[in-house]
Amino acid sequence: MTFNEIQDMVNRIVFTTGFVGFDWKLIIMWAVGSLFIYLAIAKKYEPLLLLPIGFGIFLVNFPQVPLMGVSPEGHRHLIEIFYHYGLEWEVIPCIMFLGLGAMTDFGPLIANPKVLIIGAGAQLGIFVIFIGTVLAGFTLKEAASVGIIAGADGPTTIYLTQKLAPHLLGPNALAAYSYMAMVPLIQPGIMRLMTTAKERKIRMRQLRPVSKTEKTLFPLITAGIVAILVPSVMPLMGMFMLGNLMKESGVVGRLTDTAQGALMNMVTIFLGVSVGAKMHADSFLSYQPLFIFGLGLLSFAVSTMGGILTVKVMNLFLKEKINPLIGSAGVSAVPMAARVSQMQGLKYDKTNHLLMHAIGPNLAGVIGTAASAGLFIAMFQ
Amino acid sequence: MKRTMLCLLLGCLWILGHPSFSRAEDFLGVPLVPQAKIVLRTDSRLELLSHLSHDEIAQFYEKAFEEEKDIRVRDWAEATYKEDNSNRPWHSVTISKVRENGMTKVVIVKDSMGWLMGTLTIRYAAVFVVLSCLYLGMILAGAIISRTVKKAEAQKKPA
Repeated sequence: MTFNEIQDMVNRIVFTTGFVGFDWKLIIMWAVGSLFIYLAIAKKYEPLLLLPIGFGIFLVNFPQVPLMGVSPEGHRHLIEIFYHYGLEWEVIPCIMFLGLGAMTDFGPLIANPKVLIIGAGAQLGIFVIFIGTVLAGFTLKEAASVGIIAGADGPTTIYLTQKLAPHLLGPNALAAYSYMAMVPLIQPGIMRLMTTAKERKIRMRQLRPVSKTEKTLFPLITAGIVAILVPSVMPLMGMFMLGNLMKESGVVGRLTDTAQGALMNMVTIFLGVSVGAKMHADSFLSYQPLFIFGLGLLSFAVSTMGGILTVKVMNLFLKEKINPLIGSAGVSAVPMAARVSQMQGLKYDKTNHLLMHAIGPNLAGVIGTAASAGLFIAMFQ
Repeated sequence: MKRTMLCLLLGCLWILGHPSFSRAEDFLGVPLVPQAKIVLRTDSRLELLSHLSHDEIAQFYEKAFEEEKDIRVRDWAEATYKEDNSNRPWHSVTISKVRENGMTKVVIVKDSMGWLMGTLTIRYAAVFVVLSCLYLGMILAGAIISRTVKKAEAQKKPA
């Protein structure tokens, strides 16, 4: 073996290691990934998603790792396959909605359907942030995908972003899930600021029991109405209502169990890793993701205000007043936002339990966010 | 005399520099149809009349915007409407399908916050409409179900 051969061999080995193409930006991304892993493990902030997202960020930010690209032979790398078939084909968010539907009890919403209006009011943040984002120089499609973060609904944010501005998928999903986890920190201050002590003590009548027939008909009615009014969002809403029909019908227990258990867990893994893997230093370390993170906080605040304001307006016309503390639950973030309403209610009256009342607007928020997403999709079709 | 000449020269320059006398070949970055006559020009709107047919003008703009992204095209009965969905300074180009005195009218409109606020307000209201329809649907279904249940109970009682 000649010296040149040995040198060539060593060179080849060195050039296949991660030392080649190393960049200081990658170190920042390791820190970002580690931060989300820390938040998931130590703080329990949305661990089901932030953990795989954080690890995805960590993994793809090493030079030469064959995870998120295409091989010289034209084969997609592992996470690229998850991303392509799961997110680019818009499959994962819809399957997540199937699972969510199979887990959701719409009883509190059916028992008090007027809270649907709160779910609409709490979409205010989406439209306000849209304007802010456009003023900051984003395109309309980018603005719509950033605005939808205010709906506090992860799968809808991912679905719309993938459709309108796929290059923002990473920051948008991360902002949505991070702030959803921080709802208990963001909302209480705004709730106190926007309500009087008297309003916070409003007691609401106990919800009526809802029959099985009503619960079974609900997904059909909702799917029908949404399909007529906002057909573009039916891939999401259709799956959501199918999952719920499976649950409420009670005749397909095995399917319901799979949808809300194994299937949901599987797609959560693929979703988390794929979203994290989209955040390579080259695309993530720019002003846009930072701006999106900044706006995310504001968007949750404005949506919370929108929900509370809607209740206040409704109370002007209603005989039986609604406690405005449940208005904040109009942002989706199920069931975190409803729990915040419950906790705040108990703070001012130890016997005033608002949880079930707050679940109604919470679920209405999911439908409202999906409707907003549908309206944005229609805007660009 | 010198002063008068200077004033006249400045006046001429001002008149020639006025937007309505401008011979620029684009408006807010939108190329103008060759040999078209400008009939109205403000800071936010430009109206042109051209001898070219609608199809020829549509083809001209199709080529002009060939490499541009985020431009939505609507084919209306009375006009072809091109709308910018990006953040360009112009908002829309409308090419009329109805000929006026053998001329085709083209309208270029500047991007404005008014349009954005309008469309967002309508869409926010539409979210209320969607959820209100759902509310009505649920009330209706609830009423039908409770009436059916009551009827069934009433039929059971005499038996």
